[in-house]
Amino acid sequence: MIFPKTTCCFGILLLSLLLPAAAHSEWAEWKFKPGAEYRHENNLNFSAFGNDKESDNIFNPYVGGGRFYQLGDRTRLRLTADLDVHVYDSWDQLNSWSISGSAALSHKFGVGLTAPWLRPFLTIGYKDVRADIRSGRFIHTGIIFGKRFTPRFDIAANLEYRDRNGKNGVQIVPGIGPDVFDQNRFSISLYGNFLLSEHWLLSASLGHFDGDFDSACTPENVAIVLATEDVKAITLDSVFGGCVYRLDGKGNNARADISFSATRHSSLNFGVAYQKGKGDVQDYKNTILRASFIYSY
Amino acid sequence: MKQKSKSVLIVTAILAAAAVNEVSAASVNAVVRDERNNFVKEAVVIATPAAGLSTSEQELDMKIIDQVDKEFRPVVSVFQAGTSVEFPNHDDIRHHVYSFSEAKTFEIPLYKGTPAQPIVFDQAGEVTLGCNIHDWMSAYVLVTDTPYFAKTDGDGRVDLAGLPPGEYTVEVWHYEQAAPSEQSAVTVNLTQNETPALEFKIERKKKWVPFRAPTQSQDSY
Repeated sequence: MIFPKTTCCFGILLLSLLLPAAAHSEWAEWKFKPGAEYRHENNLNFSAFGNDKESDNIFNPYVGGGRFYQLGDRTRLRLTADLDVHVYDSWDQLNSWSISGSAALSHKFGVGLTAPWLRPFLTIGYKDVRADIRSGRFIHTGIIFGKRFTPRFDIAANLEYRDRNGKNGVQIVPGIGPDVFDQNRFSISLYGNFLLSEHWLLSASLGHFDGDFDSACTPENVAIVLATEDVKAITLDSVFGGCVYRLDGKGNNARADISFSATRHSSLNFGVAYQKGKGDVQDYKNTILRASFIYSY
Repeated sequence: MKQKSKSVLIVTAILAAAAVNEVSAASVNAVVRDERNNFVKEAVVIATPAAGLSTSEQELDMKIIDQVDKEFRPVVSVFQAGTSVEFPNHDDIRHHVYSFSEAKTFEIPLYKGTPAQPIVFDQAGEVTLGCNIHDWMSAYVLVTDTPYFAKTDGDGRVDLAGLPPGEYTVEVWHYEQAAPSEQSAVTVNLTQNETPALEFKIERKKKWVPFRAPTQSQDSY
């Protein structure tokens, strides 16, 4: 059941997109962005224990659309709605769909290719996962600062806060709550894009996060987890058959992608990402390989 | 009757003069290649008379640089100095056209349709155009003092006709040309009986434009 406040927000957002009276129509630019990604994750459960890692392939089609409102010569407001679906090859309890609405205000400090720009943004959404305790609303908000140095090279820095609410599971450890999927974290990322040729773009990013993440445990290793980590929440997990717990830790991630411009409006993208989380003692690592097709009008 | 005869004589004289001019016009064929011997399309071949240019008050036609599907069309333009240029926007979104080039610095802030006032390119030189909303949009303009110029076709060839006989400096310009060289300019003496075939070679330095296709990240303006 969709969180009532979220429904209200979506309603307002969708109406504002559709009602011509909500904005001067000559100012608006429509945006439509469908795509699909296929990726492989080698540690889907983000386990700290090598022999418990589970991997899977995930098919992720998505579609987004919205409008740009040019508020001034160098300021534009982007309102979009997105639908995201995840289908897992093996772990179908993780199958999910999510719907979200975003508002982003972009401002360019000057005229020309190399003028820096700033974009605060807010995304509110709801994710419905087959394994119901993972379902809930989410909020992402932050600010991106970017600058292009040459036609071939540009960078951006992103400071972001993420908050999600899941559902409470069953309390299995006295004194530790079962709200594993009530999570929040701050992250900072630095992106760079470099044009290799007219049709090939190389992108890379480095990021650091500070906050909550979850990991799966088993009856065999849960005692080690409870003894070595400052577990904030723990509950039974219907997905991987054991338990799942939440930590307040830190982590880093690195990502590289290469994009091929198939047409002016579409691209093929191939990438690899490496995620590492650190609790008090344990390390949590995940490697993701991805391929995607994106169209944008 | 006397007046009618006089009119006929004047018209005959004008037609005769035009016929003489047509017969006395010279032309030159040119082909442009790059350092890899590939034909260069949309190179501009310019003929500047050695005797200097007349300061005639000839009215110059209005030119157009359009915006369609978030691209400038044409990408390469050449005008004579003093030409007025319109920038119609045939997209259903707004564009913000600008240039920081010394030969013509201007801005047309966000607009749709056709701006009321055209832009007059009054100084010879190279002008690079951009759009402040869409980084990949680029166009290149060469503004010349001479009225004698033409662009090469897909085979790198051009026929520059209608030149009064005389000595000319014939040179080539391309927006990706690294620098003028001995092989990009030549002096020729044009007569009405000959059509010299000129070959030019330029060294190209790629002009990059930002990636336009969508990517995974949202890290762009």
